[in-house]
Amino acid sequence: MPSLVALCEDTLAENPHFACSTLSLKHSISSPSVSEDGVFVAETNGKTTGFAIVSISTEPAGLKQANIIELQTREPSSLNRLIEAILHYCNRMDVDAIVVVQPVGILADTVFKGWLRFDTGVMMGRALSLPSLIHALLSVDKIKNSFAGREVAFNIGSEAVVAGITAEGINIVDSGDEPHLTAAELFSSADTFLRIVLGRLNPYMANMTGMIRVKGLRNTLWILRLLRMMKIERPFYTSLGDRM
Amino acid sequence: MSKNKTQPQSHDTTIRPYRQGDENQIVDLLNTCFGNWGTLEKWAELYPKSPTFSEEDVFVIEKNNKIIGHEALHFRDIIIHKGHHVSSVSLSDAAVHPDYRGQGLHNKLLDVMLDAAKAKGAGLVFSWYLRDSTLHQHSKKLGFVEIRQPLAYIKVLKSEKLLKSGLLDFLHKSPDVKRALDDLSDSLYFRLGDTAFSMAELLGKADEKAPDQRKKIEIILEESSIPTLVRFRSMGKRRRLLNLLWLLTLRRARLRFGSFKAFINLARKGISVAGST
Repeated sequence: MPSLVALCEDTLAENPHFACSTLSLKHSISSPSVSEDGVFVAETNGKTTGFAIVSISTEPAGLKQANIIELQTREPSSLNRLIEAILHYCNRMDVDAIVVVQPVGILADTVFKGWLRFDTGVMMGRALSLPSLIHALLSVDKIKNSFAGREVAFNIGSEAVVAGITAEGINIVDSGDEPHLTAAELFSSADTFLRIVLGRLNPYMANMTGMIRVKGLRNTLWILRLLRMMKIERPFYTSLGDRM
Repeated sequence: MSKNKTQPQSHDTTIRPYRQGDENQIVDLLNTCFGNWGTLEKWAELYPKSPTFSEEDVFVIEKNNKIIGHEALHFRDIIIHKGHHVSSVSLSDAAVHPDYRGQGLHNKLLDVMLDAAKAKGAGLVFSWYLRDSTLHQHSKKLGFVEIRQPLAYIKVLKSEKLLKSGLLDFLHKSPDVKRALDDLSDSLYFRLGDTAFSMAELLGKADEKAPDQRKKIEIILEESSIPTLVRFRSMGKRRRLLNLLWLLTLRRARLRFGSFKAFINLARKGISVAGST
C-alpha cells in the first residue's frame, strides 16, 4: 500500500489534488463494489509503475457500469497494460459501460481511442478562509525568488492577511483591524480572487475593470505580476472516486 | 414539484447534525430525490465507514420529525504544490424533498454547513454539479467558481443498455415529461440498431397485447447518436432539449408515426411539457 500512495503523490506532484493516504486507498479497495479481481497493479522490473481500482455499480435499468475510481501510472506502457487488463476483466464481468478519468502527465489520446468524452459534472470551489491558501500559493520558488523582501496585505472579502515573502519562506499574519504600513495593499472580493487564482480571470483585466484594487500606483504592476504567478496552471486532478 | 406545496414554517423546520437512527429516512429521501440512489449499505459505506467520518459532518433538515433535507461534508487536505497542504471540504449528496423545494431551505442548510466547515479550519470548499443545472447556476451566485478537471471518458460496450438506463434516469429527473408521456407509454417505442422496446417495457408495466399500429410512435436512434445520448444524464434540462433537437436535425434520431393522430398526440404532449416548464 505505501508504494501505491507514493506512486499517487509522485504522478500527481505537478497538479493540485486531494492528498492520497493509505487509509483512503484501503477504504476504496474495501468497498463492496470493488472485488479482489478489480484491483490492478502494473510492475516494471519489480517496481510498481501503475495501479487501478475498478468498482462495478448497477445503474437505472440494470446498466452494469464499471467505474475506474483510481488510475495512476508513471508511463504510457503501464497505462496500456492496465487498460487492457481492465477491458478483459469487464468483459468477464459482463459490464455494459466503463468510465474513467484520464490520468495526468500522459498523452492518453491513443489509449482512449474509441472511447467517448463523458461529463462527470462540474467541479465548483469557493474560498472559506484565506491564510492557508495564500501561504500555499505563494510557496513556489519562482515567487519567493522574484518577490523576496516584499510584503502584501491581501484584503479579500471580509478577511485581511499580510504575507511577508522571503527567499526562505512565507510568513502570513492576520492583519486584523490594524493597518500594516509597510505592506502593499490589494483589495478584492473572495470570488474574484479565486477566479484569478484558478486562471478564470486575468489580473490585469480585473484591475482595469475595477474588480481588484491596489493601493499605490507604484505597487500596482508588481502586485499584478505576483497575482499572475499565483495562478494555478494545471487542472485540479480528481479521480472518478472523488467525483462520485 | 407537488401542487400541494407545504409552506415554509421556520419555527418547525430545524437543521441539525445526523443522529444514529436517521439512516433509513435519509436513504428514502435520497432515493426520492435521485431515483435509483442506492441502499442503506451504500450510505453506510459512504459515510459511517468512511475513514474521515464524523457524525457532526452530516446535516439534515427536519420538519415535524420527518427528514426533508440532507447534505454532508468530507474533510480532506488538498495539495496545491508539493508539500503545501490546504485543508478543504467537499459537499456531497445535497438533497431537499421535492415538496419543500423553492423555499430557501438549501441555502439555510449550506450556511450552517459552511460555518461548521470554517470552524473546523477548512480553507476551501468544493462541490460537483450537473452542468447547467439549477444548483450549478445557483452555486455561481453563492460565490462558487468553476475548477478545471481532467477529462473523463466512457467506453460503451452495450449501447442499448446505456440508452435504457439514460432514458429511465431522464424520466426520473423530469417528472413533468414522465407524467405527460405516461398515457403514451403503450404506443411509444424506441429503436436502436436491432433492439426495440416500448416505454411501457422500460417502466416495467408492459402487457402482452400487440400495440395498435395506428397509435404507434417510434423514435429511431442511429448508433451515431450514442455520443450525445451518453451525456444526456449529465445535462441540464435546456441543454437536453437543444441536444435532442440537434439529433433530430442531423437525422441521428428520427420519429416515425403510425398515423397523423399519433403525431398530433405527441405534439400535444410536447406543448403541454413546454408550457409547464
